[in-house]
Amino acid sequence: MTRETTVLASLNAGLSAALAADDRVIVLGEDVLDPYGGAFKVTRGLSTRFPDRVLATPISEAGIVAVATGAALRGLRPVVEIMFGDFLFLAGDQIVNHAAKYRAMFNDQVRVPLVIRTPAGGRRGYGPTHSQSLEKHFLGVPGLWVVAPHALADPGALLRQAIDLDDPVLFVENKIDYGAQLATEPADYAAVRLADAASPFPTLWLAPRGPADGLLLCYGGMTGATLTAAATLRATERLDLGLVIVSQLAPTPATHLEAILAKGAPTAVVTVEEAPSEGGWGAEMIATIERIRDSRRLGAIAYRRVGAKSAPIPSARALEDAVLPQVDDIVAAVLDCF
Amino acid sequence: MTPPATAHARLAVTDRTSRLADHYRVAATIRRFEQMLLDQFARGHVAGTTHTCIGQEVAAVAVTAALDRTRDCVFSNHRGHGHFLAYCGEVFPLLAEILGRPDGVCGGRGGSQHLHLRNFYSNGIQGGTVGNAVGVALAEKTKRSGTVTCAWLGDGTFGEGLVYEAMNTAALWRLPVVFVIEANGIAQTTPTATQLAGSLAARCAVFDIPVAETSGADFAELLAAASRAVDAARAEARPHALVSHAVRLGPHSKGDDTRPAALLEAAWAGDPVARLRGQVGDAADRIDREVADLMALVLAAALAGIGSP
Amino acid sequence: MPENAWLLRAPRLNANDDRVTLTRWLAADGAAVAAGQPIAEIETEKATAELAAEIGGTLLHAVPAGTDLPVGAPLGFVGTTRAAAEEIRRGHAQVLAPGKGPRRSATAKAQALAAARNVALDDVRASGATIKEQDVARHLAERGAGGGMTDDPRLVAVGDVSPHQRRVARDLRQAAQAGVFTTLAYRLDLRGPERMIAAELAKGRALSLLAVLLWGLGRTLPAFPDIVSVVERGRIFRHRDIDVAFAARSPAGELHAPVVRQVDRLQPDAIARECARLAKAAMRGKLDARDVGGACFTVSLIATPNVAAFVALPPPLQTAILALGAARQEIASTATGPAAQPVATATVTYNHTVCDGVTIAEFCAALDRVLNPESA
Repeated sequence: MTRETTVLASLNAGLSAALAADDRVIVLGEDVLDPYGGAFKVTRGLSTRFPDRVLATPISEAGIVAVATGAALRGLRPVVEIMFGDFLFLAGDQIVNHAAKYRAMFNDQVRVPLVIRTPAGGRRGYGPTHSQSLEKHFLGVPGLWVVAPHALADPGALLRQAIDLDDPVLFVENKIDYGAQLATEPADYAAVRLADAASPFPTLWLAPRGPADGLLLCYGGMTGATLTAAATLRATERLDLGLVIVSQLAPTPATHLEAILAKGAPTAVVTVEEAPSEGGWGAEMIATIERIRDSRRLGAIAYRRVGAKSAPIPSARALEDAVLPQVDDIVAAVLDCF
Repeated sequence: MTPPATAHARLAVTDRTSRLADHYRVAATIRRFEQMLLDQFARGHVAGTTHTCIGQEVAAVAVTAALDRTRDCVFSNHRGHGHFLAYCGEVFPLLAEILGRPDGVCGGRGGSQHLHLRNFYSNGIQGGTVGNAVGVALAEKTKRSGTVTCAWLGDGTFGEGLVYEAMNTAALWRLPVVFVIEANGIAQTTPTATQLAGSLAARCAVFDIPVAETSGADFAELLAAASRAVDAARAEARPHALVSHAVRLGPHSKGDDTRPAALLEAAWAGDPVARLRGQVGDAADRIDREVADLMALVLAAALAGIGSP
Repeated sequence: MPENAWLLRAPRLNANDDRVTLTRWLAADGAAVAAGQPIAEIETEKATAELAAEIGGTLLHAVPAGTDLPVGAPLGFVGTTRAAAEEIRRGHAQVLAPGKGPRRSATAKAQALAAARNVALDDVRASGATIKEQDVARHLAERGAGGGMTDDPRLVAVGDVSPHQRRVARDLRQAAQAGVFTTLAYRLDLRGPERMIAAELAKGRALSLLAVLLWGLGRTLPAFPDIVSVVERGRIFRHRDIDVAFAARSPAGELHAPVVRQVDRLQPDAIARECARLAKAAMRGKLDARDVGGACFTVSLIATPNVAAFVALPPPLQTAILALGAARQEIASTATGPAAQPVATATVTYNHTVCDGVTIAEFCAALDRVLNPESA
């Protein structure tokens, strides 16, 4: 498969390949049919190629996910698109009390191979209810996987991996990232891909060539800003940081973190997320790292979290920029550790 | 001559061709089971919560008998013991599940409201199962299995928006679902009249879903109406609705019945199970004894090793 | 390098020392200096040296006295004119103090550490655009300030340890590690020394008790080769000459140990003159390199009344030291009845791995006999 050039193209190609490879895969969502091809064009071309298996739905997020869950119980592999991540809570009960629970409640007699795709993130001036990163509220739901692609790894392949999993996956894309060029890992890092049976969705660990002064952890749309911050810190502060770009947000990929800490104990760990840090993904990663650090009797680590301020995201770009995390916030947080 | 019952004997489930006595046996078993359950709760032998379907057994037997058990699916709700027993007749596994035993239907992990066996599913969130049922029908239609999916819900469930989303989608996509609405006039402790504006049947018709209404008390009427709905759904590949008017003779859960005594007395006077019993004739006594014996065996076996009865 | 200016760099004095300390400037900042004139005194762990200007002109300091620098770092600039000196100094401004110039920002941790250890952030060399905690920590390490106790707010920092103090501490530690030390106390009869002093005084010459002791040691030590030997790495080395050091303390509180060379060949008056010369030089801090080092024995006197005795530690490469307490009067029985006699308690601290108490006792007795021939 030729490497697509943008995140969007990669996702579209991945979805198309999944539909072609398995008759059981169906796509449901609002406005997903051609020629419109979805609000963010991820499903463009699919209804033309697979007319029976790409279904446009009424504006019924709860209904769509409920129907997809029932279909998954009976052997189909539905891929549902929720148009904006902000709308996830409309389907919240179906995600949490139905899709995520049937396998365990029914004593492993059934599987729910459901994927819910949705774009998160702001920086487009869409305002408070169309710019959020609500995936943080679905972390730690037993039975639910939360996965986020990024531009340095193959998003389409990650989507296919999610579709192939027999359990429900919340697949969180990023609006701004759709247009991002796919990139290979920067040359001044040694790239390590971590994936195992416990945490099958890969983590990309970019280690600096020499000893690392600390670790930056991020996922999804904040990857670009984190890379820029790392480069800035190296140039102006002579701090060499490793980057840990996670794709599996939940369940926590503790095995990956253990492997990274086994190679060397950082003295500073900074997590970066677009959602407000309070009660979020960064806190979970730090708690996990701290548990590993303590059990291995490693030296003290300075921790900082970078995230949005705890406020609804304003619509005006300047106000939005003040709420959402920027490169400078990452740089400042790292410096605060030293 | 029926063989003597053992605790693990499966109750013989019925279909459209079964005799009335057999249908009654199923209904009596459900009644006995639910009453035994409430009694065990009162004695403190069972923990957790449960929702008995006393008064609604006949509808469960009739509608389930109308289905094709080789392929049809059932998505039930929190008040699903009758639906479950009528579908598969697994009496001991159901009681074991409610008691949390590993040899229960779901290994003790689901309990009263979360059951799955073969093509039977249930969950405890109002309205959620209705949407799932539509999805089941979608999958089966895709597989061209000719399956009809029976979605059980109550009149109180129509407070949830998902019910409307599900009906809309089922009608739009022409899915073979039969929505069986047990209109018992009450939602927990709230009369339906103070919950639903407009008409229940109109709520189905507005989606162009053909809806039939029955009394919920007459077995033959129920069986006929259910059969028509199931056959039509299968043949036309479109949803149908069946409203069964019955009375919930027991509490919502345990002890939460605030209805006036006079109302309950009148309701008991029209008990559908008693009515069916009357239609069965002489065999009723013998069936009652056999049901009692089976229930005693089931109860003893299920309580064994848990605590003294 | 322009011909009208010259850069004084910290030289490498020996193979092992990568850093030097500028102990003091010998010419002031902005002063006129001549070619060949000593302008700076530097010191390493092992040596001191004076640095002279290579050209004549105006001297500008690059760093203040007391600064510790790496070999090769600029110490000062001499220009044929002051302007020339300033120009070359400007050229080295970045190297001198990269932390100076527009005030850099510092992280909160850096500020906290700097405040706790009384560091001016402007003095800190930053590894990047922002001063970080590790930059402050490195600054502290370079300054020689250790960690730990100084976090206690009840300990108020009052200054840095002087190079002299560092050297003394280093010498003491070095000596203590060289052996196992113990002490013998001896009641030294002072009648003989007092008679000697009185006799010299009658001739119009001053003779101190110190000089008498040195003369006595000069007559005694040759008979005790063990006491003037040291052990290093399994070999025994004996001092060739009987050079004896004595403790002298400057008014500023610095301890010096000037050495009277070949004291066994000198007469008391020569010893007295040498003592006086050395003591005066020590007071002024002007001891020559030839005046210190290489002694085989040290003697230390405390004249403070009522100090009955004290214990000193031999310096490196010496096996024993004699410390004499204050003179006192003791009542003794004589043939003519009770009489007061001047005595003092001498302690000899010696390295037990080289010689034992019996030798030391015999040595003390021999010294006593030399000093008190009429009491034998």
